[in-house]
Amino acid sequence: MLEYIVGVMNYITPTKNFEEDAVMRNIKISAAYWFILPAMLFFILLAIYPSAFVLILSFFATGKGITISATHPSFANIIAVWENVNFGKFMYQTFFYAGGATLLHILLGFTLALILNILPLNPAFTRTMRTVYLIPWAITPTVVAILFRILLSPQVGPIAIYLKSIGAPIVFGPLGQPAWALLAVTLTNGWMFTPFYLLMILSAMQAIDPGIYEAAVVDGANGFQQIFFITIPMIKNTLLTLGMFDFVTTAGYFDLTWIMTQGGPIKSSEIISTWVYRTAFQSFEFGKASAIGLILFSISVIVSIIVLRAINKE
Amino acid sequence: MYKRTINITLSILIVASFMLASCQSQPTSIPVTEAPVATEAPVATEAPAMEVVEITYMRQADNPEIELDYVKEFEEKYPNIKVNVDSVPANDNYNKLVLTTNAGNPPDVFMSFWTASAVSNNLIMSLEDYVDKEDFNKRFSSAGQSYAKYQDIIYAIPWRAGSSVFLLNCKMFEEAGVEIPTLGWTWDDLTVISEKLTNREKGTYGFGLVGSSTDYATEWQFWPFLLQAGGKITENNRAAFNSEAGVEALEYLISLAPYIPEGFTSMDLNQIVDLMVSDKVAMFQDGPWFIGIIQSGHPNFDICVAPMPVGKTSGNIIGGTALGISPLSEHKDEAWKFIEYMTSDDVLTRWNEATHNIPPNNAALEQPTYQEGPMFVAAQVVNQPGVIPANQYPESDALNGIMRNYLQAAYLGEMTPKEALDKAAEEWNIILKQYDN
Repeated sequence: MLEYIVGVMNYITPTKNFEEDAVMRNIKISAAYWFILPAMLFFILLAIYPSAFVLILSFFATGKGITISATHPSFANIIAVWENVNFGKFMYQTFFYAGGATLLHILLGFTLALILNILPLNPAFTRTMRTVYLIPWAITPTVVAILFRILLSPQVGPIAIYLKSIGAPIVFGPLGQPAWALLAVTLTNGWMFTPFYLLMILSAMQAIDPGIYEAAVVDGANGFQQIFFITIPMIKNTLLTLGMFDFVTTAGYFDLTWIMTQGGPIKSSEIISTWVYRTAFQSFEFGKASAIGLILFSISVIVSIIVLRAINKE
Repeated sequence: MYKRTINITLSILIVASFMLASCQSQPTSIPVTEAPVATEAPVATEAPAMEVVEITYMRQADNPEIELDYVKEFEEKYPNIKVNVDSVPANDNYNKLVLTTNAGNPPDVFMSFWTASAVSNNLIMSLEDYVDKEDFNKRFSSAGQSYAKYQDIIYAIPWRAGSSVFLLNCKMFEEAGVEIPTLGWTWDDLTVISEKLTNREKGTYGFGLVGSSTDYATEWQFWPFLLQAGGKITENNRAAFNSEAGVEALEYLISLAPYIPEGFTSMDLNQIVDLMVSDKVAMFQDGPWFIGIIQSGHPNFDICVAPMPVGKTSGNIIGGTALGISPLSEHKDEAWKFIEYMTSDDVLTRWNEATHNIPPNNAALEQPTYQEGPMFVAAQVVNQPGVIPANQYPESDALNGIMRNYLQAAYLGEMTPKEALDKAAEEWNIILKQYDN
């Protein structure tokens, strides 16, 4: 945004020398800002404006509804959220969900990308598998959630039916068990979004100069050494960026959890996004819901700052 | 150069405005296939002849689409009123109403099954100025009226209403040599029948109970047993279900666990229905609308219906929907005309017969459809003593969610029934206190 304003200022402010090249350069730079203006407007309308409204609601909205009812800003909503007896539990569950899913995406994505990148596979097979791996990501989250609800059903799900057929003594129904519900949702998230991260990591791997690997082979490095001393260091920034992006987006992800468990059983899979939904649309306390959203936003900012600092250090 | 920059800027702004406009969602509307052609003398209407007024009707997307035929009939009868139909899944109706009302553009007419909540949050207007109360009381059954009124004021006009019934797999009953229960059967009978119909080795179970955190049926299936134990849901705007009667009801349901499929705390109604039509579950209880749902999905399935059993007393809840008008509607008269048409005896009779629902109007209840078979039983139970309408408390979504949460805790053994009901009541009262007058 700052660069944009500077760009516009450059356009409207006369330059010190009036040589044609300088004028042309200013006009070219400023024309570029005009081209990104629609995207900026879109971003402002769909991201900045709603975020600002949420901020205002969290400090100025009290009671029910989305009207601004307080005449001066108040921390009442944030304090009420902080003092909620389940605040710590929901925060922990959110971190578990976001952290667990992120770890799964990155580790599994990395492994699969490595397989596709390193193994001497038929190129046509590699291309096909890359497409096949994308299928989970291409399915709508609602459909995935319903699919896994059926898959994990203790009576009609294929896993439970198979376990029964081999005489397993357990009742397989993780979505109805407090100890397993959140893990089941986390694994579903892992299944669904790993393909995206696989693609990103694979692209990063393929950008590494093959000459480095050749040199490593000449120096006697084995496969594991190549992975740990070449591949990972070379794509470390990509992994960090993806991890940050993944954590922040997963922490706010709503669809899967709501459709699969609605935060149950006994709030064992309640995360911040479902808590926000409940507070806003069942209890109509939009001020409190905005305060919860603000807390989630703050966490996302802190995580982003930590990761960006780690990247910048490189 | 300057002119070129301006031209480029203007082009970009025009494209950007088209992009932004295209991103806005509009309610779906019934396509008008052709201009209405009068084949007979038009019915006299009070609406202005020339100006076409558009109203928005938010319906439950889960309802059979035959409902849209009646909307088309209304538009043909009133060519100056166009109805934009917004089909929203039942579970999302209330949320959408809240959002659109807060945004200032709610639907003019909507289908309500949470009238108390809607009244408490100013989402629905009183229809007392439009309705002849005497005619209303004559036309509609007490079950139908209960869903349309709150604190004795008419806020909506009934569309369908029915009390919970037991839905049975006739074949499983016949093979086990068990008679279909009739009016007056008791909790003890339910236990005995469930046991007779259970064979865990074969994977067949006598009783289906929903315990999922995602399904309204979890608390819906508890309420009748609470009432049959002599309990109440609320009293004087406070939770009353954590009484001895409530504990007794919950303990009774837990005692049926040996006859219920394992893992029922992750099972929803759809799965119970699947198990029943697969001859794995002999019976479950829910609204009579499931008769139509099961028959339309499985036309060859032989379904039987039984009334609710009796505990210390008889008791049941009524579910249903009613059509209401938003207080923010700019076309209240036209909205009322639409409701008047859709809730006429003719339309209600046709709709409920076609969809195997229980009609809320007495004229429809006298039709042959409701004089025999499963529909007869379902229609009769509505008039049993101890029947109360469901969701007669504000923020019913939130309160029901709390109840569901603690019922699960009791089913899973994480809490005793007493602990679970007490905790639920505690959280209910925090919310209910906000609505003390």
